[in-house]
Amino acid sequence: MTSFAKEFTKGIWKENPVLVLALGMCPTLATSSNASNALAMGLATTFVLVCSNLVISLIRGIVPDKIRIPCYIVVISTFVTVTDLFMKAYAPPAIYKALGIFLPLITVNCIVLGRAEAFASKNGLFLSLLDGAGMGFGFTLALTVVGVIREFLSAGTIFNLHMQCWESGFAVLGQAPGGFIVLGFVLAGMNCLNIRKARKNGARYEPPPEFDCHNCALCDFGRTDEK
Amino acid sequence: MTDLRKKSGILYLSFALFLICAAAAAVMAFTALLTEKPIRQRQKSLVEENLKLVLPDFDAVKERKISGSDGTDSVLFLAEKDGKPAGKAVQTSTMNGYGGKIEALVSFDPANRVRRIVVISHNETPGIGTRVVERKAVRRLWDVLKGQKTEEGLPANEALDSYEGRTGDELSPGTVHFVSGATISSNAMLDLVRRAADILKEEESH
Repeated sequence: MTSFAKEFTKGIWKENPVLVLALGMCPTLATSSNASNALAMGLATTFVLVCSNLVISLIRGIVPDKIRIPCYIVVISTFVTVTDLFMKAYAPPAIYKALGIFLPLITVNCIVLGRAEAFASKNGLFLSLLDGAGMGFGFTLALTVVGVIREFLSAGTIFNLHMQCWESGFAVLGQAPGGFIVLGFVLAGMNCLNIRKARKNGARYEPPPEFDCHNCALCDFGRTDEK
Repeated sequence: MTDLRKKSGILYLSFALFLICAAAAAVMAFTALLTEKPIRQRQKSLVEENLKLVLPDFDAVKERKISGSDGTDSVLFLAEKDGKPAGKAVQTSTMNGYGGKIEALVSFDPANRVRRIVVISHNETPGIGTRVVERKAVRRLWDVLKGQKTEEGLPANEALDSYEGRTGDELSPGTVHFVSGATISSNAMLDLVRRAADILKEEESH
């Protein structure tokens, strides 16, 4: 696999922002109550992510280190405002209303600022574009999967199409606590797949070392034992 | 050339931040300019579409804003066709919903009986309170697979439809449909329609 493809696909599985990095939980729980909202939220975030990654990669040479965070936030919030206005004008009214406050809140979504700081500020234009698109796609995919499961179990519909398995399901799954439960099961399923894949190759599944608590720069907890 | 990233003089920092903010402001202003018209048009057409749902055929609408004593704003719509009155509708709200405010458009026939109700905004619990307020067209998997066409027009809602054909004085928990498990939402809806009927009565009396 070439490194270009790797930059794109890492956001979808290996470093999926929601399911592996556990970033952006708030919009995930709030907007994944049905599949259409989840998809719309994912696409809006992807747009912001790609644009902000591009611009931040472009200006990375002239932004002084000391004020880089405010600069990134200004860039991100600009694109969020642009997205908000365009969705207000052209997206289906029901979806715009359902996303509500979570659309402007993309500004403070950890994924967007996280990618700006960890990737776009250190890499070139094309790589940053791929990284943003991959991360956004992974976010959209995770959100939509959770959304489809929650919508099907809570209302018996998928993308508002009634599946005729049951009339009305478990209402709790349509609300925030149900979001946690479904997300937990999706995480478990993903870990299960990873472990099974590793076992087939005769290895033991380890999460990528950079996400291990031992490697977190913020704390030395557990750094001395085990190693 | 010095590395701009390592600069830390206060003047350069301010200048860099100013430049980025100015560019951001320009982009946002341009977008706002671009979307201003479609957004306004859309808000206008939303009101019109809701009116079309509840009123019979009309070609002109007069609006009258009414501020209630408790701070809620209502709008009385008088629709006309060829210069003759074609129908009337009241847009009003109640704060008694399970999730707070419910806003709805209620239309009346010439004898001031409720004609049709469309809830514009609400915050009721999905799956419980929404059974009282939401009209949702359900497309079923087998119908789509069989190529059956979905029904056009306003989707039915048992609770909202039970108000039709009644005057404001006839509305009570005994005459309209209350959804079990959603008593608060049902009470709020009853309160809202009564309000609408009262507003209409008040307006027509002077």
